Amino acid sequence: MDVDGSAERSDDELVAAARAGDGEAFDELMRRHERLVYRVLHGFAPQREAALDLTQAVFLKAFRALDRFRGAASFRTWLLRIAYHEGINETVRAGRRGATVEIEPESPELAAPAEQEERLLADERRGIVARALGTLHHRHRAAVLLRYREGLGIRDIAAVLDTSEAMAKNLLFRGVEKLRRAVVETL
Amino acid sequence: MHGCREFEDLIDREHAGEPLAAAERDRLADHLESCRACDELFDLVGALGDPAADEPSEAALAAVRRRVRAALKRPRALPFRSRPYGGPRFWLAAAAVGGLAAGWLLAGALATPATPAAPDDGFGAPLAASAIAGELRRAAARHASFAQAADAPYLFRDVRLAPLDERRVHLAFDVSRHLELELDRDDPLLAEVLVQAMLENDSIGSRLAAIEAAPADVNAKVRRALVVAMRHDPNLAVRLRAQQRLAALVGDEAIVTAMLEVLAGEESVEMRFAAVDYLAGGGVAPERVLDAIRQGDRPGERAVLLRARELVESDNGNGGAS
Repeated sequence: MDVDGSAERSDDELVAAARAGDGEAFDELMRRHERLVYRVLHGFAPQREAALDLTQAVFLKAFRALDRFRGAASFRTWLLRIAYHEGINETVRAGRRGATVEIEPESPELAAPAEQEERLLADERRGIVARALGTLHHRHRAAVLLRYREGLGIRDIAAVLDTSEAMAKNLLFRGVEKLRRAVVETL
Repeated sequence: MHGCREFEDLIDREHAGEPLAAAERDRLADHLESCRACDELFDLVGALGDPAADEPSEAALAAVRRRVRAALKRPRALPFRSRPYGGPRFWLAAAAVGGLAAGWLLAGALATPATPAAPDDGFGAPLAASAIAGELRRAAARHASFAQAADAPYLFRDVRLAPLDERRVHLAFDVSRHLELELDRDDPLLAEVLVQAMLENDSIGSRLAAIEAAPADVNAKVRRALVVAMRHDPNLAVRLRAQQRLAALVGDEAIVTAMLEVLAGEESVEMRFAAVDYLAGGGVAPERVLDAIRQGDRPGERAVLLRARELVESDNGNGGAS
């Protein structure tokens, strides 16, 4: 917990304080949600640096749009919507650049051979799934990531994707099916 | 996958961080032993939720926070405002801008119902996309011609077959029918089909065709779908076409909001130009337009600002408020 007690404040309280010009409050909001935002964006931008740049862009946009946050959804959902839109924009930009998905391996630290092998296999598996994920339509991709990477409920996923719960369920179901097919095609 | 549906749900919950009861976990483990399809699904979904190796370091995230703080402190490039204002021309422009804003506010006050719409955090209300099967059933009850659909052939695609055990197989496929119907213009099925085709279709051509097919007097649901397509479709051609269709519809605050979002978040300069034109033509207060442009910080911002300035000055020349 922070010594200034900001970690005990709710997101809504921090938003109100940030609106009033409290820079520390916005810092705390960033600290609370930066990993979540990063992970979602990483699903759209497989390069770590690119995902970090996008995370920065999301928080800049969020800060500049704070006045438009009315609390109809939670701050986290609102932030995820911004991240989702930024992810879509990145998909468009990557399409223009003709970008390919390259998965960065973990830093090559010294490890026992068996551990290294396990790590390599895990890297390879993540790479295959990430490449397959990159072939999905952005709505399917987002539904799958929000569910299985972030553990969001259907209601929250629907709010982020700006759709009904029935459609969110459908997107998730179809997303997994398409991912399964894409993995087979990737192999 | 007749008996697998239950286990798919268990796999979903297990990997979405919703703990299973011990008995459920045991049943799932037993099933995974005997069902290759579910076992693969379990591994696949598990790999999705394993981002540990990609987690950035605390130092990298601290650097992001520093950059955000620095960017927020830095004055933003404002070519429109950086020009020196001088003498009567400035005050004339200021008065005109004020007049426009007052006019817009007055018009808004007159047009807005006593209870304002719920705030939408800038993204609009969720799209209520009901299940198309329900609409089809309702349409069947309304239209005699729909009964003929029973004679239409089914189309099967993406057929997949996998053995489950010695006796049973898992069959998966997409099934569709080509239907041709005569409907009233305001039939809910029409809107439902257009919305689904615009938003839930992997084919760019199909999404464009649905946007083209939308009637000029689109209902609220289709209008909302056009807004979503304009803002979020990954394909520029689709976003542009949706924007062109929306540009023909004036006097809708949801479209105004969406056009402001285009100014703030869209990469395409052409779309931002079109948004400026729409907003200027709709009598939106110039400061709202300029604020949205300045939020973007994107390539071509100067050109878009210049375009907005031309329109503001043009309005000033015409007497200001609209």
